Amino acid sequence: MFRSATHRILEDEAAAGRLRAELLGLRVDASLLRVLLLHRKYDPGQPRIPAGQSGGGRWTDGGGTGDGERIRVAQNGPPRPARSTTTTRLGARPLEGTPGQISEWAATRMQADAAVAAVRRIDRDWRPDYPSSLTETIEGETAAERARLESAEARLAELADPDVRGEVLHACVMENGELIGRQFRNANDVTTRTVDRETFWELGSRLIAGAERIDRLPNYDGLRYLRWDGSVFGLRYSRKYDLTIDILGGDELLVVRGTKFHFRRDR
Amino acid sequence: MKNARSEDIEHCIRTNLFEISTDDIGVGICTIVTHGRRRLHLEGAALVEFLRRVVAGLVTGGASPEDPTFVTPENPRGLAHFGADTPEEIADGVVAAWVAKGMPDPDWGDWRFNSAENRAWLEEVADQMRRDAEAKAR
Repeated sequence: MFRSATHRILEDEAAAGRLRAELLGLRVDASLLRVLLLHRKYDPGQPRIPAGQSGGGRWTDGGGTGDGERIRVAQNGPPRPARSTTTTRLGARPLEGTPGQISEWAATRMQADAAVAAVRRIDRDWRPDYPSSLTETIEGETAAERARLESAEARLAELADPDVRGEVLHACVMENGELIGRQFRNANDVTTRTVDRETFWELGSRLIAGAERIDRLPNYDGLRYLRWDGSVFGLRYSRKYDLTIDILGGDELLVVRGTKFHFRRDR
Repeated sequence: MKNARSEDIEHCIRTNLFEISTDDIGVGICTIVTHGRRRLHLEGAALVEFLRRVVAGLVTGGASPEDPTFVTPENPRGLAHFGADTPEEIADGVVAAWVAKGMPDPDWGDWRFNSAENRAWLEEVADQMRRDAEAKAR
């Protein structure tokens, strides 16, 4: 049966009225949320009315909606990690973070290793003064590495030798005339190498010594460093291979751009 | 003039497709040109033909081309299109752009090839890195 035009208009008006009421409710909720945040009284554990129910998503005092419905706690526990949070197994224990945080942590540790090595070339028995770990999160580990780096840099300044000198690119990545590590399985490409964890850390700290962080490339999703000899390398997180070092600008004689180093995840 | 052997071309395509399937970063023509020049000792027309056939093979294998000069907010990975995006059209377009620049050893970021799946993950990583940087700045 066909509905009359008047009937449809009335239905449309009723729907528009419901939408206006919903919109008004959302505006009120947004204003309340702003006020709550301003007063720092926001509590992620505060119950909300479940989605799909009348007023779904709105804050509640937990006393029910008045019609006997059960209230579910909308955000109980720690905030949900971002979708691209992942885990690195390069350290002594697995660490969770975003790919950027993981790269930042590794780069800071490599810089700290390089600075400590520079101090010990002059003062063999020196030990950095830093908290071994501030928290068990990746941010805490990064902060601890930064403290170690700052401690070593302060000691270098005391020794009146603030430079953390690097080696030329091929000295960092080659041994006996060949790239360090093993040719990557199945790759049949001598420029993709796999090294063990310790070698990976050592390689990173030798490459990063005295290097300066430079702008990101639009198509390189990691940290880029310009070295004193003009070569460029990057540190990024790869879904399958974890942290990876890329030679983004080599000397083009012994070490070509596109060379990369993964680490062997054998434990 | 020395031309690349078919098996060398097949090997290069296979190697690079393997890289794309196992590492999200994809492969760049810097690696292909270096392979042609340094390992296969190709130059001139032989190097052009080698690059053209390898690029066509990568596209046939499911990769698509990106170039940072094409990056816009709407196209964050710089995905490039050539005509109907057939492997031959893409290969001709990429090779023509490289030849027009004087056939240099390309920089790392110039013309990279990657899969849609890797691209989606990298976009997510880039987005997350922007959010991390913003959070750090606050």
